[in-house]
Formats: sequence, C-alpha cells, structure tokens
Amino acid sequence: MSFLEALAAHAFVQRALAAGLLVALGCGLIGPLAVIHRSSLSSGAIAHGLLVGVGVAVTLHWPPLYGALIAALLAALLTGWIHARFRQQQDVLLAAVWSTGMALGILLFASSPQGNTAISGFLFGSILLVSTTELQLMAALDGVLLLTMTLFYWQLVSSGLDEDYAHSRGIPINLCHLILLGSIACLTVLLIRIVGITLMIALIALPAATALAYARSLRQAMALSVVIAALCITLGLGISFHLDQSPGATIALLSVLLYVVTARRR
Amino acid sequence: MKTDSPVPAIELTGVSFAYGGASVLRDIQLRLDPGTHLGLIGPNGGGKSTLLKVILGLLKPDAGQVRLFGLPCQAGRRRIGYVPQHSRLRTGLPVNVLETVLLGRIPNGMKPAFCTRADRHIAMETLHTLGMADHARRPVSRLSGGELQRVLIARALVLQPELILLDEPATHVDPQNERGLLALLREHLHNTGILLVTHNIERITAWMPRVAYLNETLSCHDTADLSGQRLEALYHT
Repeated sequence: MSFLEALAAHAFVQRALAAGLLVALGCGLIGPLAVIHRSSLSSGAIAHGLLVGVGVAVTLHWPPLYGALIAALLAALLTGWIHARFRQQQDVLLAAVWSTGMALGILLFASSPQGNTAISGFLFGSILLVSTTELQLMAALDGVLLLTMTLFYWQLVSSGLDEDYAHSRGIPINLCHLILLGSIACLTVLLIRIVGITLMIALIALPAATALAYARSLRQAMALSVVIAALCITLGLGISFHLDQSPGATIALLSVLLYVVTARRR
Repeated sequence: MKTDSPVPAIELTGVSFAYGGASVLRDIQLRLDPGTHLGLIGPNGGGKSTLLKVILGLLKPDAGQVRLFGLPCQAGRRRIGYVPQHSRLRTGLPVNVLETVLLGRIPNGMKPAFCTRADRHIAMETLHTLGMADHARRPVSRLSGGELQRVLIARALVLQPELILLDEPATHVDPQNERGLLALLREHLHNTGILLVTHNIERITAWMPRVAYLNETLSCHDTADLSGQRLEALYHT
C-alpha cells in the first residue's frame, strides 16, 4: 500500500498529516522570530523542560499534552527570568533547566505503570498516534500563535532586530522576549507528537533559517518557512511510511538536509 | 503670572552618572528649547553617547532630573527621534528598507500595532526625502554604510519627532557623503529641534548656532564666540 492509498484509507494517517500541517503553520510563524532573537538554546531548554509536565500528567492520568503545555509555559517563564536577570550566565542556567526537566520527567515515567515504553513516544514523536482531541488542542494553539503574531508582530521584530532602538522607543524588551518564549512553549507542545522532544529543535530553527536565506522580507520568511516545514513533514511522513522508519527522525533529517543544501545562500 | 518662556524640549538639572565607580557625567545642567539646534562635542569617552542615553531613559542617572517637553523622561521621549552611533541593527536578516523604517512608526509600549496605508505613505515620503525611495524593497544587508545611515535617520524621522538626537550620524560615511547627508538634514530639519553629537567640529560650527562641550561636565557656547584657539583650549582643559 502506498502512502497516498493509506492516506485515503486510514483516519490515523489523515490525522497525522493534519497534525503535520498545523505544526508547519506554527513553525513558520514562530521559527523566524526565534532565529532573529537567537532563542535556539532557550527553545531547547523549554522543549526538554516540558518532559516533567508530561511525566506528571501521565502519573496522574491527565491528557499528556495538557501537562506538557503547563510545564512548557512554566519553563518559558523561568527561561525569560534567567534571560532578564542573569544574561551573562544564561548558558549554564538554561542547561540546568534543560537537564532538570528531562531528569525529573525520566524519573516520573520510570515510576509510572506505563514505565519507559510510554516515554519514547514523547522523546522521539508519535505522529501516527495523534488523537482528534490532540488535533483540536493543536489547532487552538495555532490560533493563539496567530493572534499573538497579529497583535505584537512589530514589537517582536523591533526588539529582535535592534534592542537598543526598541528600548529607546519604550518597547519593553523583557516582556517581548517573554511573549516570544511563551509562543515557543506553545510551539513545543505542537511539536511533541510530530518529532518528539529530542528532535523538535530541528523543526523550530532549520525551516526558518532556510527560509531566511531566500526571503526578501520577514513576512516572506514566515510564509516560506511554513511551506518548507510543511514540505519536510509531508515528505518525511511519506518516506518513513515507505521505508518503515521513524517519522520524527525522517522529518528532522529532511529539514537538516534542506538547510545544508541551501547553505551556500547564507 | 504668565511667562513667555516655552517648555524646554530637554531640561537636565544636576544630572550625574557613573559606570561602576567611574564618573562619566557630573552635575549636568542643560536646557534646549523646542525647535532649536545644539551641537555636542567633546573628547572620546567624554560622555556624549552616555548623555544621549540618559536623556532617552536608556540609562538612569545617579542624581538629578531629566524632563522632556515638561514631562518625565518615559513619557516625553515619545516625541523624540533617535539615531544611535553604532546601531546594533542585525543586517544579516531579510529585513528590507521599508520594514526597517516602519519600525519607527510602532507606538510606545505593547499596544497592538498595525502598519496602516498612512504609515506606509509617511515611510515612503520620508525615504523619498532622504533619497532612498528607490531602495524601499532592498534588504538592508545590501546597503552601503551611507545608505544604511540614511535608512536609520529615516526610521527616526518617520515618527515626525519634535526633536531628533543624532549620535555621530556620519560615522560610517565617506567625507563626500557626509557633506551630502548633513546638507540634507539641515534642509529638512529646520523646524525640528536637533541635538547633534559629532567629532567634526568644522561642520558643526558651520551649521549649529550653539555648541555644548562635554567632558564629564558640560559647558555651552555660542558658535560665533568659538574661535579655533578657544576650541583647542576647551579640549585641553
């Protein structure tokens, strides 16, 4: 059975593709701003920090993505505070957030009845297991991201491009950074089912970095980034289906490949 | 009792500032009336850029008061355009000239901002004034130093400020372009207050009616009274 036949025949494949396209929209909206604000390390800390929330949710039999969302938003707050107060030491402190969230999550999973088998779906993604309820949450998160970008696009661009100038115009730099980190937190929850915690940084940063090399304006970069992320996810899903490989890893590798192939533009 | 004295655009009273323990500004008194022009000169490290940052509220003075248009700094700076000396604008990104200039139209704070057709019109008019309208869609990464400086000035002017602070606006510009740039500013900013920081004393004395000399303390002089010898004496005091 080909991927297209499976797509026509099976609801779970349709849900997987729909989830992928919702994620692509989120990556396109937030990725270029995350690159402009040099937030890759913060994104990694939030992504890995959220495992503790998933662990708590699984232990308490809550929907895992809700636990992930709460933990990701708390990690974003912590990361924003570190950026504002301890900028000189933020590399080490973000590494601490990164490892603490991961370590606590692993311990929680190890002590839960589902044990270590359940954790792999969150670490490496499980796009084919996306439920309708999760799709609804992902669509709602995309809505939040779209609204945030509509309302605060210019402040986020200004603070990312020229912090001193933005400050002189009375734009609160730390609040802008916090809004961006909150948006990244929402994006990490969107990504957890697609590529998992360990690989999500690839889809946050690389389609955006590839798009930034070709675009002639930031809005163009966002649109192109959506297209690139959608391409990587759809192709990755199809290729992994045919090769019987992990979809998350295939999608992440495709985004790396595209970034490397377009390296000469940068 | 009615007074004819206008509310000053800038009023500094006893302003002092130190980086760590090192005093950079000491007991600065400055009054600049709306629409007037003042050149600010002084040696490197004399505190010129620091003074502009204190005026804009980017640095908080250790002592003294800053009032802009009779308002506290945070409120008054909305009426001020600023062109920093070394803009930290990240030029490697796909931001075009028009987008950069439109950043100047964003309202203060986090009030949701939407760039309207009127904003674009004002931005294009400003770019036209500075001879950059044909470059509106060019990424800023492909501009020369002089062109980028014009874009940054446009970003400050697009706000239609009542006062503009220019910190070494010709730093990355060759002498020929510098003359053109200053002539352009002189032509289009005659109704706008200006505080211009520069090293080029010759150009400033040809344009500005008053000059302030800053080297930790500030002294103001009428340009007409500043002979070459007097200037030299100031720099060696």
